[in-house]
Amino acid sequence: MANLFVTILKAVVKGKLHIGELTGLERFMLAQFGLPDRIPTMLAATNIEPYMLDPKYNWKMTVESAEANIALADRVCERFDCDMISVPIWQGTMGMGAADLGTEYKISEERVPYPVGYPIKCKEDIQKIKLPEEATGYLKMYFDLTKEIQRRHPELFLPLTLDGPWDLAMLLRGDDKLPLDMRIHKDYVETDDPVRKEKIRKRGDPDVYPKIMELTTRLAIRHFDLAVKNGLPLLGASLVDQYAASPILSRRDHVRYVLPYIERVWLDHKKQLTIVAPCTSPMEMRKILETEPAGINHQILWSNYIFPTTPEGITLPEYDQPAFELANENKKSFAYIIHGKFLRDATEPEIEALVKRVCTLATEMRTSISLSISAVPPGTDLKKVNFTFDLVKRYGRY
Amino acid sequence: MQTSITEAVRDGNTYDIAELVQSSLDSGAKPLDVLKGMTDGLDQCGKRFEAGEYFLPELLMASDTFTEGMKVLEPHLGQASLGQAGKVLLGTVAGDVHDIGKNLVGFLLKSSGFEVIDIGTDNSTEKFVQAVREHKPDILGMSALLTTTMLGMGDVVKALDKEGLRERTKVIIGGGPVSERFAQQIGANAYASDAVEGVRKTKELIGR
Repeated sequence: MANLFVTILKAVVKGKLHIGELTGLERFMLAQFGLPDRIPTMLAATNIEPYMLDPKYNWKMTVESAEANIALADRVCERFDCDMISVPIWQGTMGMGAADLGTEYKISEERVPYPVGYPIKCKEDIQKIKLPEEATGYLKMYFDLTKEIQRRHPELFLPLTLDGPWDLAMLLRGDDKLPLDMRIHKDYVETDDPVRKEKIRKRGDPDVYPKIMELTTRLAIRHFDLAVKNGLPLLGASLVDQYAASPILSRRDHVRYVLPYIERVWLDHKKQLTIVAPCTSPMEMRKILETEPAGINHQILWSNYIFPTTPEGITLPEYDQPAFELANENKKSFAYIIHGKFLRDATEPEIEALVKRVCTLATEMRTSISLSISAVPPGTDLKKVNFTFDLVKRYGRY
Repeated sequence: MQTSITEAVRDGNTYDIAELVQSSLDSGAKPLDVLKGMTDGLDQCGKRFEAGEYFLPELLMASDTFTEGMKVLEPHLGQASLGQAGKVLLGTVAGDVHDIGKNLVGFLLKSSGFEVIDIGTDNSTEKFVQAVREHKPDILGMSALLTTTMLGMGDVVKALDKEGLRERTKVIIGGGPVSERFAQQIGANAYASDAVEGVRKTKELIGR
């Protein structure tokens, strides 16, 4: 990771002069600046059940043991032939910091850990949560694992990913409470009528939302500080607020009531962070680009992460061309994601038809894309992962 | 006045709804007409959500407003009730506490006139079977966000078959990792890719 700049430079030179075969990391890096030899492939490993990778492991073990995560990351690297593997750590959201601040998780062998109790039940609880001086608990484990897996697999790129203010607030307050806190605050600040303000105060406390967001903004800043202190680079690091998007939150509310907090984290870290903000279509993507404050790099806007899907589980094909056109206009690489449920259900000819269609369109349009597989569910024949990546090698040459 | 009540529910004006309902009743409006005004508000809110104009805070607030209004209205309603379109039981499967999608479906179903019984999150197979036996719904809707938890849906369908409860209750499933083919594999009657389709499929299954 320390040599990432050297890797980028090497990739550009190798790619431009066609010297030797690109490594996966080089291919992925080159795709950020232009067209590599072929479309890079990526696997979101954290969504594959531990037991599917190795029957010896389960979720409880991966939450409790760093060694179990390291062993599973090794299995992933041995088994799948792709250019990039993202977050090969099996902890769910426990490594995002909230678990160390009072969010209660249910941990079992069968399920990814999930929050069942939230520490902010009323306004008074907000001030009880103190910013951590040091990384401890699950946050520290996440940092240590990222470093160790990167050390063991230098061919991989393991970018740091941490929750932003909104997603941290959802983990500390609960997803049924925070949207209502936001709405009551919004109603209060958007009226000048003192009678109405009084009525709003009788139904709820408009100060809860900004107090929570102030806390989680400072928390997000601190988490990235602690990552650096623990030896992780911010280059390629992402701040994720995946729940601050449609259909949970409108763009207007995102811009007015979430983005100012995100910007504080971004500015505090000298604009080095990539801000991950999902959107639902290339049309919305275009609108966001026209209205968002300049400078924030919306990485996940450049993917079909939450685009609507067909009954078979693939992105609506009519969205591909406008998305690729937008990527070309903005000189961005588009991350085309295949949801694992399509992989589980589809036959090999169906998978081939999809990969061929997407790759052919990207190569004909000269659009830099990567092809990723995420959320691989139980019941999926994992051989289909490498089958898909082999098809990219066949159809995805620029 | 009905228009004001409809708008108040639609726009989540929970601050004024009790006053609006009371004043409507005081001025001689029939309780059932007031109720219709409120359900129209939910319906309009649901339609705006479908159109991408409203989002989760708007739905939660409209639902809260409806509940506040009902506190005033309910004592005046007598035998009149909601839910004439049919009865739907909703829940997320064991291990899954992600209920945003389920709540959206519940909200849209209520606004379409269904009686909705929501048994919440993280329900075991036994709890689903018990609830179906107790409430005798026309439709059972199950959702899962996690790839690990969706397998529980198949267990519930099997258990309902075993208990002879499938004659009366049809099963519809949804959630991120679920697909049409998965629904067929486990023997569910239908699959919905989102909340709006969930309501449409529910109406189809019930024959409306």
